[in-house]
Amino acid sequence: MSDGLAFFLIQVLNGVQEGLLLFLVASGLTLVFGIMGIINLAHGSFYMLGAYLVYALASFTGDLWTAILIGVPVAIVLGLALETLLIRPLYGRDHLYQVLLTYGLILVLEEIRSLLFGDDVHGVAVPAFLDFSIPLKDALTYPAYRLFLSALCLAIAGAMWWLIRYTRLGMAIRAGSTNREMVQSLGIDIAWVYRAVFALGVALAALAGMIAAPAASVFPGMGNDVLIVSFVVVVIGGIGSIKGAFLGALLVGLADTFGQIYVPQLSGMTIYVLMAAVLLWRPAGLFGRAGVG
Amino acid sequence: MAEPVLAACDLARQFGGLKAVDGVSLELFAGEIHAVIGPNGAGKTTLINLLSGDLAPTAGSIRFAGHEIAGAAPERIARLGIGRSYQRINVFAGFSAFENCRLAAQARLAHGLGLFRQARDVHALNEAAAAALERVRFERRERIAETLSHGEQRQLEIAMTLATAPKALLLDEPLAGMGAEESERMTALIAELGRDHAVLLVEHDMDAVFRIAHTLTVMVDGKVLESGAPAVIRASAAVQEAYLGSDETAP
Amino acid sequence: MRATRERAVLLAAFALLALFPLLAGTFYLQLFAKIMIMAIFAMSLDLLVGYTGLVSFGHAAFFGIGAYALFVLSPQYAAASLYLSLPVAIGAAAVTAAVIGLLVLRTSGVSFIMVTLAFAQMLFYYVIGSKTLGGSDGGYVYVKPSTTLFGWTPVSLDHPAGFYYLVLAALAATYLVLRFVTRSLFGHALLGIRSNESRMRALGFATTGYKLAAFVIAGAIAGLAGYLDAAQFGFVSPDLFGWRLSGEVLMMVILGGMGTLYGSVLGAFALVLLQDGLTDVTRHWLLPLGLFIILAVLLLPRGLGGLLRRAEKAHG
Repeated sequence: MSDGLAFFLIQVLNGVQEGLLLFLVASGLTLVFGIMGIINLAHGSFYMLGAYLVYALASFTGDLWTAILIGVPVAIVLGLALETLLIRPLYGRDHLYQVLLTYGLILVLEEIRSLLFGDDVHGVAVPAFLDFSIPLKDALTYPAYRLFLSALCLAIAGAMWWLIRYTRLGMAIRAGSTNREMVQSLGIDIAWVYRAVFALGVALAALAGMIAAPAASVFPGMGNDVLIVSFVVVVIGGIGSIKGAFLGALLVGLADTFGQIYVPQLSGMTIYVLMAAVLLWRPAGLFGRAGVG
Repeated sequence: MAEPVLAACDLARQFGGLKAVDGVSLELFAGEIHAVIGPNGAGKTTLINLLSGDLAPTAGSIRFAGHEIAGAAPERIARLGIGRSYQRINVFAGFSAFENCRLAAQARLAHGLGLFRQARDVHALNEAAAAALERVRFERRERIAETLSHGEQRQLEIAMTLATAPKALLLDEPLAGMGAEESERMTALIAELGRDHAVLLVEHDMDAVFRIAHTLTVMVDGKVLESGAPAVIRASAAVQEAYLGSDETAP
Repeated sequence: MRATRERAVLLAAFALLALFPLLAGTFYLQLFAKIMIMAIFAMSLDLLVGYTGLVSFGHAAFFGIGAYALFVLSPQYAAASLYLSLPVAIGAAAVTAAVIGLLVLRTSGVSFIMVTLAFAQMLFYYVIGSKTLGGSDGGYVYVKPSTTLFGWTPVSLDHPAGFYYLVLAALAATYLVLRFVTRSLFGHALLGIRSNESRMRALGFATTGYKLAAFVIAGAIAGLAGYLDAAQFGFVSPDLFGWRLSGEVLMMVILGGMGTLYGSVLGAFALVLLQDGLTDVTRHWLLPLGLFIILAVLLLPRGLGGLLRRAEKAHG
């Protein structure tokens, strides 16, 4: 293939990979908004904690996979604990108290990370068997780990689709996103659904941080950066819509990647311009419903 | 025959595959109470939502005061002179009854944003609010809306609508959840209001409806089954079968 | 009568603040000036959050505009004129608020919170990427604005007391303006929108116009605060657009008690003093602050202002 095409392909792969990773984070966010009506500013902190956790565990166990295997259950437990202690008192309360409390939570989680893991920037080693590059043309290559990352995210997205389509929890999620009272009248324990949804969101965000760690650096502000971009994804995709989060994440990933290359003067602003355009055209998002949120 | 104040023609509203309102036409005249009755799910509330602008019709037209208002924004329709009350209480919960009515009056009386007029100085507003509350015979003006009894809240709903000095009133089940005595008073009030407004009344209370309505329209499954004077409707076999005989007791 | 007592308390507070420079040294003058600047910022947000029910998590955007306006308008080693630069700063903030407002007011609820944050972030990245604006390093305002008009200099802002009085005047003016606005018909409409927006529309109010006006007024006053902040510290950085600052000011409004104006002033005092006190104790002062916020939300549903009102009711 030609040089130009190879270069273009690399950008597409980068954009898609960024988007797919973003989808993991944003889907948890949109589920918690849509089903539970809760805005959780600390969602990005779980991404950050996942990355730092895997860094710490990997240097201990020497192996990324073991670290992830230990890390995910830890994240789930953390999610369940937080839901019980802090999130449950927020149900039905004005959004701004949710904003305030979860803002306080960001501060707490950041300082805990600082105390446990320090404030330094770290790298996490790519697992040996994936540590190679696929040649594309002449000197242009593409890291295998990134392809693996995209594939893994797609697999998780597929698992989510299966979960929502074919399990009881999934049915409760689909019903709950349109009608909370109906879910209760169906005899499903809404408290259990909420707990599961929140824990799922935390686990997804943390997992995203864990698998992203070898591809990007692990640094203190990574959680807040990803949070704000996730917000953009959810606004573009529509609150409560997984489909929207998926499409929105891909759009944002591609827009960001291509924006950096082709419109560097607008550095980093491309995704906000995209969001502004969506707001003008469809304020509720691509798959959102007016009146939700 | 006088011109109708409000005329809906072939009004329709679809939700996906469901035709909540299907080709409904009706006319509202000044000084007349036009009741819309029908079983649950007949599309009565959807109809009111279409007339008040809370929903846009998928087909049909609505003419009011010489304007075509189908699909217009609720605030525009309200300013033209249509007021509505709600089936589920929809007041400003933390404000007093008086403040509720004053806000309603402000919608009509204030021009522009009102940045430079201090609220307590505007006598016209206070008078309009007091007059509206008096019209519905509501006495405890300073009580906070959410502490009022159900019947009082319904009175407040009507008062707020009156404070905007509308030409047409759309009343959505104003008697719902009321005891016998309160119902009596509310029915009398509506009859009185019917003398100088054009009133569209959606109700389930057949006693009240047959007593005060001048015209009845019966809706079933989104369509108009029959429309006419109360005596005609009461005698109609089709209406008996569809509605009056089945779940409500005919008067 | 409650109204006269309230007025007495406010006048007493103002008098104390006015007499403060006679007793305090430079450090405390500067600290209190900083607190009052944040109080102006917080009151402007209270108009949105406490009166209109619009939870903006991007209010720092307009603070940043005001600050950077002074930076841009200040000649390298000379003073900008207060009478020229301040109106421009406020105007720039107001215009930005109008543009952003038109976009963000197309959403509501949770989406609104997110898009306000996103647009502030957009400005953050814009400034970081801009060499003329100093990029991530920021910029300096080497000389404080001058109050010279037609050869007469009423007050020197280089003097801590002089600057303090300017800020105090700005605080008093902001409070009076916002009090006037919130007691006007417009202000009552805002409260109605906060309580039940759909009913307001059903009554005939064009609520979007009201919300936009509130957004612009709040943005303009935030610009004033940002300008004063740049004048005080002589330094601007992209962090002035950041979500942390937006979060801090939101905290002040909510913890201080929304919808009361003076609650935001209390919140500003409480939070800045708390921050100052905690920083001395530990490097990780954000941890107790975060815990404090969490506990406050769980235990104090109505903020500090609410505590005051409850205490007032208890004592009759």
